[in-house]
Amino acid sequence: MNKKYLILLLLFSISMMASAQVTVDASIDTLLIRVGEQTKIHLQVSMDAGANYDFPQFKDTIVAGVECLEVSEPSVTELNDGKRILVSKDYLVTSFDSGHYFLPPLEVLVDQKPYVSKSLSLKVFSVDVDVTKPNEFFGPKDVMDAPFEWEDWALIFWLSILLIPMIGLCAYLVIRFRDNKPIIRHIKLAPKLPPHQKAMNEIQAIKSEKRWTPEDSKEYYTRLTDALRNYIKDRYGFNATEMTSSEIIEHLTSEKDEKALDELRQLFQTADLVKFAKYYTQINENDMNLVNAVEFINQTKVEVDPAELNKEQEMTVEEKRSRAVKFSLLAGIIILSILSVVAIGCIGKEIYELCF
Amino acid sequence: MAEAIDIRELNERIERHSAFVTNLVTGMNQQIIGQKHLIESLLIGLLSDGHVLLEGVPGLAKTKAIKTLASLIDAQFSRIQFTPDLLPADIIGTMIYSQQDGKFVSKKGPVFANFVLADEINRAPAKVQSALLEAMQERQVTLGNETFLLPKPFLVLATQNPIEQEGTYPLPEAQVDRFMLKVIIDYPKLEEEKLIIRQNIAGGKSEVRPILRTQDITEAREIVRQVYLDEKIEQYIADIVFATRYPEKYGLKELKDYISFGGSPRASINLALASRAYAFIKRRGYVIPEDVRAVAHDVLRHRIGLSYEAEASNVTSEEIISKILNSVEVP
Repeated sequence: MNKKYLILLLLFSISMMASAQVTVDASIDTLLIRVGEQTKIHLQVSMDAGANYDFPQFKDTIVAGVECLEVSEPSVTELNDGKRILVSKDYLVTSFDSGHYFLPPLEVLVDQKPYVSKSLSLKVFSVDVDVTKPNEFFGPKDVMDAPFEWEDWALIFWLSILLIPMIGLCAYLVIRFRDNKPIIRHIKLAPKLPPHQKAMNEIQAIKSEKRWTPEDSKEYYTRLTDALRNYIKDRYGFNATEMTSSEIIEHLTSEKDEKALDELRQLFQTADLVKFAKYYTQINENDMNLVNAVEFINQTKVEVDPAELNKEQEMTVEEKRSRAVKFSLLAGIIILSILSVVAIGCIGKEIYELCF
Repeated sequence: MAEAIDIRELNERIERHSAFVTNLVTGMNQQIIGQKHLIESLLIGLLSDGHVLLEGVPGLAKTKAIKTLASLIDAQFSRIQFTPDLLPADIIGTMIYSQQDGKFVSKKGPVFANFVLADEINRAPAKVQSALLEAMQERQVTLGNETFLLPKPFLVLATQNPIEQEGTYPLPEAQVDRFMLKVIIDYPKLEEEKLIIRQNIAGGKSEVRPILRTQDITEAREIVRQVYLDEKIEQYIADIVFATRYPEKYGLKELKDYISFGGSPRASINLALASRAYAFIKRRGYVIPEDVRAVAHDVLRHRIGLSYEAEASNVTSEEIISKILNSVEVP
């Protein structure tokens, strides 16, 4: 009975020991390298999942004569349904002295306990030189230039591109400063006159400009009909300036009493005769037609609320565009200035890092 | 009112000499129902010495209108039915060997008439078309070693059919430009159609008698030449023709791609001549912008070359002319 308990206890202890076992395995890609060639040492540690491990750290050399160039990041593989893990790490080594090197066992700490791998060996041999053929000897090569890497210069390049608008902006500011002008020109918009007011102003100008003689009839009627056509265009919204007299009357007939248009028709007929048939009118006839024009405008005008007139006039598309451009310009100046300052700082930093 | 004597005197002369216009229109209206525009266009061609090309589907009285006009005038009239096998000699004439005299004598063709009706002109090959068009331009025909002047007035009124294009020879742009007007004939209105039916089923055609001498036309043409065309109207005509060449300069940038070539100086000349004739028909001694606009479509429609873009977008020369007329500022 005691024997049975003893065997069970032994089996339990063995299984416990097996489950807590840590194995460290080291291998090398090749045992033979020429001077300057590189090879990799693979170090693998198998342990329970959750255990803490610490791989050996080499600063420059593993042993005298064998240099460690690069250490990879550890790669972890789960085993036994995640109960155990296998951690691998590669060490890139080389040697510049021929000889047979003994690489001592590599020590790994698992849960602060040291475990070692087997020792390795590395044989480094020099290159055979045929001294009988001295013409095949080559001198040492020049120091190679570092290859161009776009990543190194990309930031400097793009920031330099950003600097171009800043230079343009500076030039603009310098010119504005030199000409003693404000950075942004402010446009004060004059109140826009209603169509009838514009037409009346033009008629007033025709009336007061000079003493019209019968010889001036053509110019007189051209200006008078132009003022009326422009008024009709603005007032009724059809392209009266591209219409003949009869077409204008025809258009107006649909909106206005035909009888009320008799005087306007008469005016246009007289104007056509004067303009196209060398017809000369008397001054009193001119005055009568002028009065007819004023009457037509007064009869058809649309009164505008005086409060509306005092308001800033509605901007034309060009004016709106002009104002929008100026606003965009101002915003652009501010944004570009900030960006440019940042760009200069970054460029300086990058160049400093590349050069030093 | 102060008087512009020259215009007033001209107006009076026009009033006196244009009475025949009413008679001609009345005579035409007895035979042709509706088609006011067609009749006006024929009169413009007659008064401004310009050839007229009529285009319309069959049965719109194109040929009848021309025949009626010719019948109303005491003048020689000949009709040439253009067919694919027609030869230039069939139009202008040829030299025939006379056994009696033992020498070649010239045999004049049907083109030697005051009014030549070239029916379905696009049915004959280019060689025949060019023989006629040469006579139209030069107003003379050379047979052998002899050159014969064509009678005055000499007017070619051609017709063509816009459908059934198979087996036809469309007039090249350079040749169609010889026609002062290209008139598109449309269907009559509903009321006119009823009148046409009534007139035709009634039977008994009224006889058309000459009411005008060729001399009257020559005199009328002389007066038409004196119709006053102000420089403002000249500017307006030039603007319209220039707008067909450089539409972008007249705010019609969208038309630029649709026009492969615009109106030639011949278009400007013909627009001015046709406007004068139209003013004469309206009993006026001076041209006004309405006259220019009234004839602009007929004068320009065959003188504007449409691009592939226009054809692909179904843009017609009619639309282009309308847009130009609505964009060019009227004096």
